[in-house]
Amino acid sequence: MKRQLQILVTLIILSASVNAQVVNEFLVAKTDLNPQYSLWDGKLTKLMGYTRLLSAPINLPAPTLTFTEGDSIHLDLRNMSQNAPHTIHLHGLDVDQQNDGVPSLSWQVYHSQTGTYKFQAPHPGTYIYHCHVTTAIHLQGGMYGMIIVKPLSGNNVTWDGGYSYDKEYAWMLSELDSVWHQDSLFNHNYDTLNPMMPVEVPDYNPQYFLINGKSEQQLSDTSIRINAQANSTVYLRLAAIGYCGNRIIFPSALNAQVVSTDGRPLPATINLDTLELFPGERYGVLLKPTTEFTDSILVQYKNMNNHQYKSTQKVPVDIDGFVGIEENILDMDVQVFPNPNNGELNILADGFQLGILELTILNLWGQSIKNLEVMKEDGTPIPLDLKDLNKGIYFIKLEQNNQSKTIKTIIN
Amino acid sequence: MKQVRILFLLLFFSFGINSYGVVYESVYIKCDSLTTVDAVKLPYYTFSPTDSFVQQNHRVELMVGDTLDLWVHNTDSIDHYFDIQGTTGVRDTIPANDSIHVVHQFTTPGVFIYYDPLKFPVYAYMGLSGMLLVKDHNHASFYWNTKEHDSTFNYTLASGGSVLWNQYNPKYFTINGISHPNIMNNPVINIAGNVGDTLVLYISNTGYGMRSIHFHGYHGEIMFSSSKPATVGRVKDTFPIYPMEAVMIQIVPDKPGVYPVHEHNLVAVTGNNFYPNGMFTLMNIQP
Ligand SMILES: [Cu+2]
Ligand SMILES: [Cu+2]
Repeated sequence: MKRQLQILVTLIILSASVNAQVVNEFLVAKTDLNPQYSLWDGKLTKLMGYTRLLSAPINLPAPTLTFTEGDSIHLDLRNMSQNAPHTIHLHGLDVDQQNDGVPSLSWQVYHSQTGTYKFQAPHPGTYIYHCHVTTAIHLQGGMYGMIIVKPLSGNNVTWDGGYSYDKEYAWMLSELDSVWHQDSLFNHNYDTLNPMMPVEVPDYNPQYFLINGKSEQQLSDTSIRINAQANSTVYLRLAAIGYCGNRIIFPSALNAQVVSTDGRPLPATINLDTLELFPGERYGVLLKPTTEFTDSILVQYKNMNNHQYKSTQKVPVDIDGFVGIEENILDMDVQVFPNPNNGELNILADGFQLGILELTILNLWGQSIKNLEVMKEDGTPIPLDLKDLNKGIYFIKLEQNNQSKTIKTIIN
Repeated sequence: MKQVRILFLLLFFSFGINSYGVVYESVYIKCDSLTTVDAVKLPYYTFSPTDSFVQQNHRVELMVGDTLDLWVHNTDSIDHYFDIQGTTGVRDTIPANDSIHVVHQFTTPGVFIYYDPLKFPVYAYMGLSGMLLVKDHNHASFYWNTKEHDSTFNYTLASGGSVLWNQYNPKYFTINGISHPNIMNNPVINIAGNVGDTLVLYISNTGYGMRSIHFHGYHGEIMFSSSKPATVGRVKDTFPIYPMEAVMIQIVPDKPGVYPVHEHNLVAVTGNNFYPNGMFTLMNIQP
């Protein structure tokens, strides 16, 4: 009897803990001994930073941490650097004081020790993490990264009941002043009993203006440049963590719409071509191109005190009209109707022979998501049931005897 | 002649006022110096509450509907101007060693900057820019009048020289005239309260630069902006404040804790190149 009760209690405890998803993350805090991080002009710089593996080189920004709304997170920080301790401040997640990463108000992680930050991620959105020890130096040194909290309802939606999108990009905007990336600064004086002890820093005159640690020609990196289909929706997450202000100028054909800031929906969305953001802020922007074009998004960096623009970085934008799929027969008459449809549709495939046709359903990125075989009968359209697919734009590829034709359909 | 006009205004207002109060205030344009966090002195002006210089501008507080009855005394040897944001008809000249009398009823809540528009932004930058609050609540409130200071500019402007604002490079960042660590224990600056309280922070940016103020621990809601009304209703943890903008931010803490509130442009958390001797302060929330 006693044993049964014990089992029952154990079962109840187990079932309760299943609901709270505990996610473990691990980061190493390190400082470069030698310059290793490549800037756009080929120069190398030393960084302070966070990596997932002890052996990994420090990158800018630090690894993006992705969580799901409601997760309980255990984030281990192992400090493998010399000199001052480090912390992780979870900027915008509004965690309790113990886990806020401010050395004078909670705890710090000393050399070769590990500390665990425990917190929740209750609001889907874009956040930042960074060291809060002598922050002016450690943040400029490179100890910053992005946190993305996804909603429970899935990957491609801003928040439950929010906006759905086809593709997302995340840009962390910052700058680098190589004068600050020297041992004399990285090895600053520090009194662990008095973390707010004043430390001298140089004037801030950055030479490098960064998006995800890159600039100039490096911005053609596929993780930064915007490549999307006309009539699709891109969600662009922006986070500013430098000491400059930023102005983003979107081509008007992107139909930019700001929907969120600092991890919360905006009370009213705004359509704009120019967005300003300032150190510590985040914005969520929907881009909704309707035509095929090539252009650039301009990202400007301005001095917070005298408002002078110090740099304009150009990020390439390529909006394609069609998914590039090779066609063996270009003039074959194939139609889909109705279009758009609710997932129930018909295909007229006049050019194909009677008999079996192989169909592949592709998403906007050309990925195959469904394969089926259908029978083409004389004079009748081929009925198709795609009601199990989410709303969106799809391509249907018809194949027979090494000949193919692809058509587009919109399910809504 | 000026006195006759003032008399008429007073008569007019004494009939117009019903249950609303009249708030009597005086401010004195005083020229002296700002003592920085590292004890450097810079030529500086304030609207002081008495005829002796204090290092921060007098804060004027009203309730909605109140009429402000304000004397502005110019103790300087040059003419100054006076204006209050969000009002029309107040702007006036104050001759050297003379005074003006301003009577104005405030019918909408908010936070406004009163300042000297002479050679704008010169005298507003040199210190003559303060906060005027029109409240419609009795919540615990905290007040930050934020500025930056470039010593070279203060000396050049004080001696009648001209400056290139695109070369502005301030080294001091103050809230109500003081910086960290002196802003760590100041009941006007340090937000304090209990879980569930409605707490209000008024911030004005009377400097030339841009502010970006970050809250640890809590998001706040923008309740008012003197120049960016489209931002009202946004819930954020980082608040940009443009030059000559004043905002009202409301916080309802959901947990206890002691948290920093600071500039996130970390250059503004330095004082003469020493971190964290700029805009870094604390908020203390008890259970
Ligand atoms: Cu650190
Ligand atoms: Cu931060």
